[in-house]
Amino acid sequence: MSKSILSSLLILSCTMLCATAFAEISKVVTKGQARFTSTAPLEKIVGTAPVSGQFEVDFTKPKVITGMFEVPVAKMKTGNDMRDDHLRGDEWLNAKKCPKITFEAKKGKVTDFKAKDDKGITTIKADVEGVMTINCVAQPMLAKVIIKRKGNMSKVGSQFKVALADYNVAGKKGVVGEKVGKSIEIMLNLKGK
Amino acid sequence: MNTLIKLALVCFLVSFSVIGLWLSKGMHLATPQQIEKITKTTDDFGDVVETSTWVDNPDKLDIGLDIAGPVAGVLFGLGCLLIWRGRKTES
Repeated sequence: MSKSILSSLLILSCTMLCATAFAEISKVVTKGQARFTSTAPLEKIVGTAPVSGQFEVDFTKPKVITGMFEVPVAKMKTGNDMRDDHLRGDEWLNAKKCPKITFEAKKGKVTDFKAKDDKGITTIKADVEGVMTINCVAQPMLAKVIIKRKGNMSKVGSQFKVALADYNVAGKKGVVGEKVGKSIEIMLNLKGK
Repeated sequence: MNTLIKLALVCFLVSFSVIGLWLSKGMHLATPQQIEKITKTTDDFGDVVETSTWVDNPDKLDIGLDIAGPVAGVLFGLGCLLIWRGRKTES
Protein backbone atom coordinates (compact mmCIF):
# COMPACT_ATOMS: atom_id res chain seq x y z
CA MET A 1 0.00 0.00 0.00
CA SER A 2 2.72 2.42 1.05
CA LYS A 3 4.69 1.45 -2.07
CA SER A 4 1.80 2.38 -4.33
CA ILE A 5 1.37 5.73 -2.55
CA LEU A 6 5.09 6.36 -2.89
CA SER A 7 5.08 5.49 -6.59
CA SER A 8 2.01 7.69 -7.15
CA LEU A 9 3.76 10.58 -5.44
CA LEU A 10 6.85 9.96 -7.54
CA ILE A 11 4.81 10.00 -10.76
CA LEU A 12 3.03 13.18 -9.66
CA SER A 13 6.33 14.87 -8.85
CA CYS A 14 7.77 13.84 -12.21
CA THR A 15 4.68 15.15 -14.01
CA MET A 16 4.95 18.50 -12.19
CA LEU A 17 8.67 18.74 -12.90
CA CYS A 18 8.10 17.96 -16.58
CA ALA A 19 5.32 20.54 -16.77
CA THR A 20 7.65 23.15 -15.27
CA ALA A 21 10.46 22.14 -17.59
CA PHE A 22 8.24 22.43 -20.67
CA ALA A 23 6.77 25.81 -19.70
CA GLU A 24 8.36 27.99 -22.35
CA ILE A 25 8.85 31.23 -20.51
CA SER A 26 10.37 33.70 -22.93
CA LYS A 27 12.31 36.73 -21.86
CA VAL A 28 11.82 39.51 -24.37
CA VAL A 29 14.00 42.63 -24.46
CA THR A 30 12.17 45.52 -26.09
CA LYS A 31 12.66 49.10 -27.22
CA GLY A 32 10.15 51.58 -28.50
CA GLN A 33 8.42 54.85 -28.03
CA ALA A 34 6.06 56.35 -25.49
CA ARG A 35 3.72 59.08 -26.68
CA PHE A 36 2.05 61.23 -24.07
CA THR A 37 -0.77 63.71 -24.48
CA SER A 38 -1.91 66.39 -22.09
CA THR A 39 -5.28 67.93 -22.84
CA ALA A 40 -6.07 71.10 -20.94
CA PRO A 41 -8.52 73.95 -21.61
CA LEU A 42 -5.73 76.29 -22.76
CA GLU A 43 -3.46 73.90 -24.62
CA LYS A 44 -2.97 70.40 -25.89
CA ILE A 45 0.60 69.18 -25.47
CA VAL A 46 1.96 66.12 -27.21
CA GLY A 47 5.30 64.60 -26.34
CA THR A 48 7.40 61.54 -26.94
CA ALA A 49 10.11 59.63 -25.15
CA PRO A 50 12.12 56.50 -25.80
CA VAL A 51 11.05 53.53 -23.72
CA SER A 52 12.88 50.29 -23.10
CA GLY A 53 12.31 47.24 -21.01
CA GLN A 54 11.86 43.54 -20.80
CA PHE A 55 9.10 41.15 -19.96
CA GLU A 56 8.67 37.45 -19.35
CA VAL A 57 5.75 35.37 -20.48
CA ASP A 58 4.96 31.86 -21.62
CA PHE A 59 3.64 32.31 -25.14
CA THR A 60 2.16 28.82 -25.22
CA LYS A 61 0.22 29.05 -21.96
CA PRO A 62 0.33 32.64 -20.75
CA LYS A 63 -0.54 32.87 -17.10
CA VAL A 64 2.03 35.13 -15.53
CA ILE A 65 3.37 38.27 -17.15
CA THR A 66 6.18 40.09 -15.42
CA GLY A 67 8.50 42.78 -16.60
CA MET A 68 10.08 46.15 -16.18
CA PHE A 69 9.90 49.19 -18.43
CA GLU A 70 11.58 52.56 -18.12
CA VAL A 71 11.52 56.00 -19.67
CA PRO A 72 14.43 58.43 -19.18
CA VAL A 73 12.92 61.78 -18.16
CA ALA A 74 15.83 63.66 -19.75
CA LYS A 75 14.84 62.36 -23.18
CA MET A 76 11.20 63.44 -23.05
CA LYS A 77 10.42 65.93 -25.81
CA THR A 78 7.44 68.18 -26.42
CA GLY A 79 8.65 70.34 -29.30
CA ASN A 80 9.68 73.35 -27.22
CA ASP A 81 13.08 73.46 -25.48
CA MET A 82 11.97 75.74 -22.65
CA ARG A 83 8.92 73.58 -21.93
CA ASP A 84 11.14 70.47 -21.94
CA ASP A 85 13.41 72.14 -19.37
CA HIS A 86 10.38 72.97 -17.21
CA LEU A 87 9.17 69.37 -17.55
CA ARG A 88 12.48 68.12 -16.15
CA GLY A 89 12.46 70.70 -13.36
CA ASP A 90 11.85 70.23 -9.64
CA GLU A 91 8.19 71.27 -9.80
CA TRP A 92 7.39 68.72 -12.45
CA LEU A 93 9.20 65.41 -13.05
CA ASN A 94 12.32 66.29 -11.09
CA ALA A 95 14.78 64.63 -13.48
CA LYS A 96 17.83 65.21 -11.26
CA LYS A 97 16.41 63.29 -8.32
CA CYS A 98 14.19 60.90 -10.28
CA PRO A 99 15.85 60.35 -13.68
CA LYS A 100 13.55 57.52 -14.78
CA ILE A 101 9.86 56.77 -14.96
CA THR A 102 9.41 53.05 -14.42
CA PHE A 103 6.66 50.49 -14.58
CA GLU A 104 7.21 47.15 -12.94
CA ALA A 105 4.71 44.57 -14.15
CA LYS A 106 4.08 42.16 -11.30
CA LYS A 107 1.27 39.98 -12.55
CA GLY A 108 -0.97 39.81 -15.55
CA LYS A 109 -4.47 38.50 -15.89
CA VAL A 110 -4.88 37.18 -19.43
CA THR A 111 -8.19 38.37 -20.85
CA ASP A 112 -7.78 36.93 -24.33
CA PHE A 113 -5.32 34.48 -25.85
CA LYS A 114 -4.99 33.41 -29.45
CA ALA A 115 -2.30 30.88 -30.19
CA LYS A 116 -0.59 31.01 -33.57
CA ASP A 117 -3.10 32.12 -36.21
CA ASP A 118 -2.76 31.44 -39.94
CA LYS A 119 -0.05 34.13 -40.13
CA GLY A 120 1.83 32.57 -37.23
CA ILE A 121 0.98 35.39 -34.83
CA THR A 122 0.28 34.70 -31.17
CA THR A 123 -1.76 37.38 -29.44
CA ILE A 124 -2.15 37.89 -25.71
CA LYS A 125 -4.42 40.51 -24.22
CA ALA A 126 -3.95 41.06 -20.53
CA ASP A 127 -4.66 43.35 -17.62
CA VAL A 128 -1.27 43.80 -16.08
CA GLU A 129 -0.97 44.87 -12.48
CA GLY A 130 2.18 46.61 -11.47
CA VAL A 131 3.83 49.58 -9.87
CA MET A 132 4.32 52.85 -11.72
CA THR A 133 6.98 55.17 -10.38
CA ILE A 134 6.92 58.80 -11.43
CA ASN A 135 8.69 61.63 -9.62
CA CYS A 136 10.02 58.95 -7.20
CA VAL A 137 6.45 58.20 -6.09
CA ALA A 138 5.36 54.59 -6.56
CA GLN A 139 1.68 53.80 -7.09
CA PRO A 140 -0.08 50.56 -8.01
CA MET A 141 -1.44 50.63 -11.53
CA LEU A 142 -3.42 48.45 -13.89
CA ALA A 143 -2.56 48.60 -17.59
CA LYS A 144 -4.30 46.93 -20.47
CA VAL A 145 -1.60 45.32 -22.58
CA ILE A 146 -1.53 43.63 -25.96
CA ILE A 147 1.43 41.34 -26.65
CA LYS A 148 2.04 39.80 -30.04
CA ARG A 149 4.65 37.33 -31.15
CA LYS A 150 5.68 36.11 -34.58
CA GLY A 151 8.74 33.92 -34.90
CA ASN A 152 11.16 35.34 -32.37
CA MET A 153 9.88 38.90 -32.72
CA SER A 154 7.52 40.29 -30.12
CA LYS A 155 5.76 43.56 -29.58
CA VAL A 156 3.91 45.16 -26.71
CA GLY A 157 1.36 47.91 -26.84
CA SER A 158 -0.50 49.66 -24.09
CA GLN A 159 -2.56 52.74 -23.46
CA PHE A 160 -3.37 54.20 -20.05
CA LYS A 161 -3.80 57.40 -18.09
CA VAL A 162 -1.87 58.70 -15.12
CA ALA A 163 -3.11 61.41 -12.79
CA LEU A 164 -0.35 63.90 -11.98
CA ALA A 165 -1.67 64.42 -8.43
CA ASP A 166 -1.13 60.71 -7.65
CA TYR A 167 2.60 61.20 -8.16
CA ASN A 168 2.94 64.56 -6.41
CA VAL A 169 3.54 66.35 -9.69
CA ALA A 170 2.13 69.73 -8.76
CA GLY A 171 3.75 72.04 -11.32
CA LYS A 172 3.61 75.79 -10.98
CA LYS A 173 0.54 77.11 -9.17
CA GLY A 174 -2.47 77.27 -11.46
CA VAL A 175 -0.83 75.48 -14.38
CA VAL A 176 -2.19 71.96 -13.81
CA GLY A 177 -5.79 71.93 -14.93
CA GLU A 178 -5.40 75.09 -17.03
CA LYS A 179 -2.36 74.67 -19.28
CA VAL A 180 -1.50 71.06 -18.45
CA GLY A 181 -4.08 68.31 -18.07
CA LYS A 182 -4.73 66.84 -14.64
CA SER A 183 -4.15 63.42 -16.15
CA ILE A 184 -1.84 62.45 -18.97
CA GLU A 185 -2.71 59.88 -21.58
CA ILE A 186 0.17 57.58 -22.43
CA MET A 187 0.52 55.24 -25.38
CA LEU A 188 3.33 52.71 -25.55
CA ASN A 189 4.66 50.71 -28.47
CA LEU A 190 7.66 48.45 -28.03
CA LYS A 191 9.26 45.79 -30.15
CA GLY A 192 11.98 43.29 -29.49
CA LYS A 193 13.29 39.74 -29.40
CA MET B 1 -0.16 114.65 -37.11
CA ASN B 2 3.47 114.72 -36.00
CA THR B 3 6.08 112.00 -36.56
CA LEU B 4 5.84 110.62 -33.05
CA ILE B 5 2.13 109.94 -33.38
CA LYS B 6 2.68 108.33 -36.79
CA LEU B 7 5.33 106.10 -35.23
CA ALA B 8 2.91 105.27 -32.41
CA LEU B 9 0.28 104.18 -34.90
CA VAL B 10 2.85 101.95 -36.63
CA CYS B 11 3.69 100.40 -33.24
CA PHE B 12 -0.01 99.72 -32.53
CA LEU B 13 -0.46 98.25 -36.00
CA VAL B 14 2.52 95.90 -35.63
CA SER B 15 1.43 94.99 -32.11
CA PHE B 16 -2.08 94.04 -33.26
CA SER B 17 -0.58 92.19 -36.25
CA VAL B 18 1.57 90.08 -33.92
CA ILE B 19 -1.48 89.19 -31.84
CA GLY B 20 -3.43 88.46 -35.03
CA LEU B 21 -0.62 86.19 -36.22
CA TRP B 22 -0.63 84.36 -32.89
CA LEU B 23 -4.41 83.92 -33.09
CA SER B 24 -4.21 82.64 -36.66
CA LYS B 25 -1.43 80.16 -35.86
CA GLY B 26 -3.43 78.27 -33.24
CA MET B 27 -2.87 80.30 -30.06
CA HIS B 28 -0.03 78.14 -28.72
CA LEU B 29 1.23 79.07 -25.29
CA ALA B 30 4.75 77.90 -26.14
CA THR B 31 6.30 78.39 -29.57
CA PRO B 32 6.40 75.06 -31.41
CA GLN B 33 10.11 75.07 -32.27
CA GLN B 34 9.91 71.48 -33.44
CA ILE B 35 6.86 69.75 -34.84
CA GLU B 36 5.95 66.12 -34.58
CA LYS B 37 6.33 64.17 -37.79
CA ILE B 38 4.32 60.96 -37.65
CA THR B 39 5.46 58.13 -39.88
CA LYS B 40 3.02 55.32 -40.49
CA THR B 41 4.49 51.93 -41.33
CA THR B 42 3.16 48.40 -41.45
CA ASP B 43 5.17 46.17 -39.13
CA ASP B 44 5.97 42.44 -39.29
CA PHE B 45 2.65 41.72 -37.61
CA GLY B 46 0.62 43.48 -40.29
CA ASP B 47 -0.33 46.34 -37.96
CA VAL B 48 -0.03 49.99 -38.87
CA VAL B 49 2.44 51.56 -36.46
CA GLU B 50 2.86 55.30 -35.94
CA THR B 51 6.35 56.53 -35.07
CA SER B 52 6.95 60.12 -34.06
CA THR B 53 10.05 62.12 -34.78
CA TRP B 54 10.63 65.80 -34.08
CA VAL B 55 11.69 68.07 -36.94
CA ASP B 56 12.44 71.80 -36.89
CA ASN B 57 9.28 73.78 -37.52
CA PRO B 58 9.60 75.13 -41.08
CA ASP B 59 7.02 77.83 -40.35
CA LYS B 60 9.06 80.52 -38.62
CA LEU B 61 5.93 82.64 -38.16
CA ASP B 62 4.33 79.92 -36.02
CA ILE B 63 4.82 81.79 -32.76
CA GLY B 64 3.51 81.09 -29.29
CA LEU B 65 2.35 83.48 -26.60
CA ASP B 66 5.88 83.30 -25.11
CA ILE B 67 7.07 85.40 -28.08
CA ALA B 68 3.87 87.14 -29.22
CA GLY B 69 2.98 88.38 -25.73
CA PRO B 70 6.19 90.26 -24.89
CA VAL B 71 6.64 91.59 -28.46
CA ALA B 72 3.06 92.87 -28.70
CA GLY B 73 3.20 94.22 -25.15
CA VAL B 74 6.43 96.15 -25.67
CA LEU B 75 5.18 97.60 -28.99
CA PHE B 76 1.86 98.58 -27.44
CA GLY B 77 3.66 100.23 -24.51
CA LEU B 78 6.00 102.02 -26.88
CA GLY B 79 3.00 103.21 -28.92
CA CYS B 80 1.36 104.64 -25.80
CA LEU B 81 4.60 106.38 -24.84
CA LEU B 82 4.96 107.86 -28.32
CA ILE B 83 1.36 109.10 -28.33
CA TRP B 84 1.92 110.81 -24.98
CA ARG B 85 5.18 112.37 -26.16
CA GLY B 86 3.64 113.36 -29.50
CA ARG B 87 0.65 115.09 -27.88
CA LYS B 88 2.95 116.86 -25.43
CA THR B 89 5.12 118.11 -28.34
CA GLU B 90 2.04 119.30 -30.28
CA SER B 91 0.75 121.32 -27.36
